Amino acid sequence: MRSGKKGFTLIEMIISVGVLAVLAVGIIRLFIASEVTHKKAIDIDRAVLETNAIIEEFQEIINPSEKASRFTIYYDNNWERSVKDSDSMYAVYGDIVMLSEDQGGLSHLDLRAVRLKPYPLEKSEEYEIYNISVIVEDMSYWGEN
Amino acid sequence: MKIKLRSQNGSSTILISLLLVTLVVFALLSITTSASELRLSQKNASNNKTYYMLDSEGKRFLYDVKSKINDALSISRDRPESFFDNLDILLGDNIIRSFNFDDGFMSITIERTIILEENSRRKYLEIRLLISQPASDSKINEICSIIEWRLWQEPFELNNTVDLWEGIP
Repeated sequence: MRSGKKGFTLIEMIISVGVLAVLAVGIIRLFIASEVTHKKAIDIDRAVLETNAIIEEFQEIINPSEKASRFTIYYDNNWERSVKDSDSMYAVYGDIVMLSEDQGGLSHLDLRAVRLKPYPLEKSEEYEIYNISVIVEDMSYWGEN
Repeated sequence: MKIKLRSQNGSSTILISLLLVTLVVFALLSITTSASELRLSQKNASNNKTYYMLDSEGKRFLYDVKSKINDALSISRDRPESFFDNLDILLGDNIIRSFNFDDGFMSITIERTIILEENSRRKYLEIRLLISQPASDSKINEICSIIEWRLWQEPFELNNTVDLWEGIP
């Protein structure tokens, strides 16, 4: 029975707020997905820069295979090198092996940049951002000849 | 005359709908922009990989030449004047080279172009090495020097022809 007063009933209010909430969640998810995609793009660019820097460091090392065989470099949220702790957000895993016995002066350097913590709305613990394999030369190999 | 502003039924619905449509439009624009950013970053990463792939192949070739120089040095230890003859035999037919004589000194220039095709576009690494006459105490890195190590790719040709209808049915 209508009372004759204008306005919304409680049921109408609940339904409208519910519909708005569902739509708002969808829109917010769109914004978060956009932010995550933007972050992934930045991470790829930074990972490329960092791996290039590591490769160039190894090109200048006289004997790369003696320097390290397997290593990990940790980075904080801003891609600054840091020690491994709970704030570490990214890591670059490196692996250096001699190419073959016949090619003793050449080493294979594999680099893999990963994000240690999942992106928002994603589950993967170690997200691989970028990987690259290069050959580095042992500058000391021909030095004795 | 007094104008009475009065809320009509449905005006709030229109406002909310407009707000939602605006938010959806901005969210889609934002997603489109970030997706194109991601594509650009992936392309840059792929180009970087190609560069180092070519560079690695170049390093293999350089190593191959250096090991042949090492072999030639070992063979011609007793007869240093036969170094270039021995090296010429060891280099074989696959390596393009030219012999130079400057001021009585002999040298070999080796040229190699490494081509990598990616997404129907070719990328080239041009290498030129100079092998000079070894002295008694010369090291291989001194005998073999890199003159050119240049990476380039085919120029991009923009198709700017407009396909116009010429009026012929």
